[in-house]
Amino acid sequence: MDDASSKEALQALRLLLLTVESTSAESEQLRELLLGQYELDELSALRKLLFGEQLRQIAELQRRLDDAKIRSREVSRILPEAIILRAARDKHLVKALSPVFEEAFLSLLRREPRKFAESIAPVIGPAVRRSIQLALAQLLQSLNQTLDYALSIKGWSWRWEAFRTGKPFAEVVISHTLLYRVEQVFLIHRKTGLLLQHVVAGSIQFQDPDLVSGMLTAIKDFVQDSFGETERGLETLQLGDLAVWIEQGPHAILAVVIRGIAPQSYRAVLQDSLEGIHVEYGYLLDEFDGDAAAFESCRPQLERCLQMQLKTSPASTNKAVPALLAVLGFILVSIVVFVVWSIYGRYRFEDLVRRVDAVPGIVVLSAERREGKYFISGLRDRLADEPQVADASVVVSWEAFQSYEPEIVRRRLLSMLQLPRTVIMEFRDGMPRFTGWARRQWLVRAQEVVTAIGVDKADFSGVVDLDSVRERLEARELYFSSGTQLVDGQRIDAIVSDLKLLDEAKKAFGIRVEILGYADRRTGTKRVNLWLSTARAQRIRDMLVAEGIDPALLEARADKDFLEQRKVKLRVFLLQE
Amino acid sequence: MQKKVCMVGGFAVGKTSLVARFVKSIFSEKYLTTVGVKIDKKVVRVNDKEITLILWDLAGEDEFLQVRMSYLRGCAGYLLVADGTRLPTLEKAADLRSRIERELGRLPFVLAVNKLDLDKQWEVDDAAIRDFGAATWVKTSAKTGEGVEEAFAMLVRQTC
Ligand SMILES: Nc1nc2c(ncn2[C@@H]2O[C@H](COP(=O)(O)OP(=O)(O)O)[C@@H](O)[C@H]2O)c(=O)[nH]1
Ligand SMILES: [Mg+2]
Repeated sequence: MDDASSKEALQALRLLLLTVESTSAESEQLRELLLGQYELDELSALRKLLFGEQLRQIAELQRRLDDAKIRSREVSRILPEAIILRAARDKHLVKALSPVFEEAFLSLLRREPRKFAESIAPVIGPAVRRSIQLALAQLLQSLNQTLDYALSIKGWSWRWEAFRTGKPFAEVVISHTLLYRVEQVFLIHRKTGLLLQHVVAGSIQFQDPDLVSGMLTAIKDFVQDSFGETERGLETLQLGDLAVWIEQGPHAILAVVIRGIAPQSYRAVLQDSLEGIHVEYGYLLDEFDGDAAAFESCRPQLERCLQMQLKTSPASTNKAVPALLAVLGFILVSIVVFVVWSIYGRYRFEDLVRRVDAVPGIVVLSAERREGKYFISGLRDRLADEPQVADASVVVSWEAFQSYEPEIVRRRLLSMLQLPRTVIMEFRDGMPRFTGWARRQWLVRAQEVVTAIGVDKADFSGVVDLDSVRERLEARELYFSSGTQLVDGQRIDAIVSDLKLLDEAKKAFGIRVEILGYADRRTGTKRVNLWLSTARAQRIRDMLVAEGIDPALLEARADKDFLEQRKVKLRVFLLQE
Repeated sequence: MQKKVCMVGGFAVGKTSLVARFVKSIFSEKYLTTVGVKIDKKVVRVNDKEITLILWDLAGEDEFLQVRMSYLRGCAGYLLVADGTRLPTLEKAADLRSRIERELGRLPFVLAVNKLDLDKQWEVDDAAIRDFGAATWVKTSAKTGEGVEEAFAMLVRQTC
């Protein structure tokens, strides 16, 4: 073997020794080439000689790799550090471990709920306390704020505003004392603009969030397209005292509607939330196909973004003091209101009693307040008006009695007398006075009624007793000397004045007066006498008409009965009443 | 389940009218001219599943205004609208379709040839529609309502 070829052989040998157990194609050739020259066991010996130490190390390495126990021990040594390193770099570890932990956790929960409960009990207690404390503190703060304003003039105008707009009072106070408040939070799928989740503060009124979500995405895209893609994209939209803050992540957009002016530090809250959501829901966001149900569980994260800050009133650094004052003020006002109210209540009651007592036919005997209710009792004539007591807290009770108050006497007389249309009753000095025209029958009865009712005095002098008038008229006779000549000295004044009394009542009573003429049947023919009788009656009628008596009232004719006297008589007919 | 669906087509082919036929809008049409899109919502039932359609009505395309492709991002499908009385609008639809496919890939769509009520004046015949090569097409009239519900129902089914 020459020098060059021996060098070559050695090189090949090295290669062969390293690959003696390998089966790869390129080493196959080499093996065949060399195996022709050396025996296999010779080679092994040679190998040991040349690489003894390395072979031992390789075997040792092999053992360490094969032995799971050793490997575990070794991995365990570097594991903590590895985790720290990776966790600092990105979130993949969290992603990878989440399902494992979740499952383990759930299985533990299922298997040993008691053990689980026991182990977290010490944490839960303080956590619950803390969250209650927090909620109470918030409640107190807004309560203080509300109380601070409850009694001021401003407060009253806000109360009016609340009444007008139908918003809760607290809501109105907040809207006026607000530094800022996050009213709505939208979690929007970036690619589709579809709404993943939406949370709202309090009783805010809002538009359909699905549509708003779409429009926001469109506007964001519009701005981005129009003014060029910047690193962060559209961040804020401002609309009066409303602002929309937009925070973009790779898969989702967080948009919040803010009333007032939020501090720049709030941006960090949004970024935190959005990052958290991306870590937790990364896969879901990436593969979102329109089913937002899975994002229900990120509500707490979004609700954390619903922050609010009220203006601290500069005068009051310590909140408890004005609140206490407000409470005291409130109590004071309550007392004043109560006192005024009860005085007013008593005044109203006394006024009521006065008014009831003044009702004709009612006599109040007692009026008092017992157990928060008012009682009025007394006497009431059945003809008295029902007293108007609208107040449900007033109880009234009456005993029946007969009243002599003029108004009640009047009513009683009216109800019992059946007053004809031609009679008017008036009260003068407590005495009933009647005027007009009536039949005697009614007058008699009326006088009886008056006495029966117990009225001492009544004046009927103004009532013309038609029957008396009739009797007077029918008792008169006018005599004639001869022909149609009246006997001297006979006057018709009395007849005229009586007829005038009738004249006014003639319609109501259908009064008719017949003037009957007579002739002396001992002289003259029957025919002449008839003529004379008629002429005499006619003559009297003419005279009466000349005195102003309505001709329609008067009818002149001869009486068929001939008497011995030359005279005229009257006959009065009362047709009605 | 929600789905974003877009209305795409030439100028005055009836996109807005078709949406108006299909839903009761709460936004004014001003949005169309200012932002170039108006969004509406309609809940439909398909195969016993409730699907909330979020309809993006895009301002029509003409020589001054280009349809914003960014508005089409993430949509589950689109209603491609042409005006039966104007043949060029069908060409415009084809143009829009190829642009969408170039930029966003193949998306389900339904071709709606609108203004069926004016069929006396139609320039678009069935052969032309078939040549268009749409998987699904329908003749509609936003005026009479004919075919409108069907058009949207077809589109929803395509996207499921
Ligand atoms: N006769 C008729 N007119 C229609 C129909 N659809 C839309 N139009 C009219 O076409 C015009 C353009 O409609 P519009 O919906 O604004 O179209 P867009 O630009 O595609 O949104 C309007 O005057 C509509 O009244 C239809 O089906 N029949
Ligand atoms: Mg339109």
